[in-house]
Amino acid sequence: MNQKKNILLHLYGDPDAEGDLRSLLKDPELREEHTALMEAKFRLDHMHRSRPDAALVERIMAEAAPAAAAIAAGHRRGDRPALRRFRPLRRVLIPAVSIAAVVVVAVGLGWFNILTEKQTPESNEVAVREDAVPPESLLRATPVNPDLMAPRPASTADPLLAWDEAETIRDMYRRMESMRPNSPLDWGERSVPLESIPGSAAPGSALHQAGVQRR
Amino acid sequence: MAFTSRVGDRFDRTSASDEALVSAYVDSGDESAFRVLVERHQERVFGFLLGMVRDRSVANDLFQDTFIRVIAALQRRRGSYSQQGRFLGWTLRIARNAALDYLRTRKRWQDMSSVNEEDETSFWERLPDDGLPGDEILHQSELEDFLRECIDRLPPEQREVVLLRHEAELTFREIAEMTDCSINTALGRMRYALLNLRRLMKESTKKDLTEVGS
Repeated sequence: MNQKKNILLHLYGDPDAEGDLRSLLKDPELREEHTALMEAKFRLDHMHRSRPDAALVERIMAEAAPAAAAIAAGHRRGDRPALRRFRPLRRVLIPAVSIAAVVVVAVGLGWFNILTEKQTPESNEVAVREDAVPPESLLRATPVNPDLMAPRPASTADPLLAWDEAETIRDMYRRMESMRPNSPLDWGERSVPLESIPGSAAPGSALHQAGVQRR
Repeated sequence: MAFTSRVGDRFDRTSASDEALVSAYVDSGDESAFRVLVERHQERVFGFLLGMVRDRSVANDLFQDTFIRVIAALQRRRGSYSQQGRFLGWTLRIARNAALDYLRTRKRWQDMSSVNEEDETSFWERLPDDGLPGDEILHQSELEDFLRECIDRLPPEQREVVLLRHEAELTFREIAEMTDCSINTALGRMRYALLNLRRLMKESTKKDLTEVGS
């Protein structure tokens, strides 16, 4: 902002005026500017104020009165009842579908649990029955205890307890002990030809012939 | 109702702020509050309109039209009146639009707005060279008429700033905001307006004295 406009702001007492007026008026050009502006402003300040015709205000108030009455009547009517809030269909459907999905999943899980609880004893029993014939007995053609092969009644069909029968364990232990001294093989030892095992491949036997042909 | 019942008869309308009066009228239907607003600002609004259109009957019509628009806007629950505490500025903006609409229809605003305000002589060279008689100048009331005639001869932008400052009593910042220009532009227009007024008055006086002397 140049100094001449600053002089104008000082002249009108505007808060945006910068600097001190006295220091500005030390400049002859600015002093002359200030005098010229002040002279014109003095004339303008002493102009009489113009007023509209008195009847005009009454006409305006005649227009304002119905509006005021309408506002006042609006207040006298009191508060209107609360409007029912409009809820869009989407805002209702999303929570409803979510809740339904949770219920369906919960019911499904519950039903699945009931089914699995019913099936578990039978499947365990089948597994026990499959394991009831020890593989060693098949290889050695050892007679199997007929009690193990026979289906157990449902009331006593506890698979864990069946293995805990001391007689069966003792029977297996005796068989293992009887096998140990007869066999030179043991787990983890180096593999050897079958004919080298004494008593397993006698000369002239089919096994012995197969070994000769292989060489 | 709520407003009047809250403050009761102790509500002093004459000393209440513009905003309080607007609230009393809009919220409570207090007709007297609106009357105080009209009477408080009638000189500012009418002086501005009269200076713009230079015709008292037209200014009267525009004054009434302005306040009817104000009522209509306030009836729409304040309408465009959103600037709290600036009722006068808002009303003057409505008045200015009404005046400009009128002047556009009369093609008076555009005819003069082509003047370059930075070039002072371009406008003054076009002024009619008729001095006023000395007895009119000497008379106080006629001196004021003479001053008004000088204001009328100012370029529209300068005249508008003079009217908004001296009749409507707006600050230069408010004038700049209302006329959509910078404060520097508003100050420049005001400076040229004052200098032009002074020159016109001096030239007229000099001419008159010359005629009396001869």
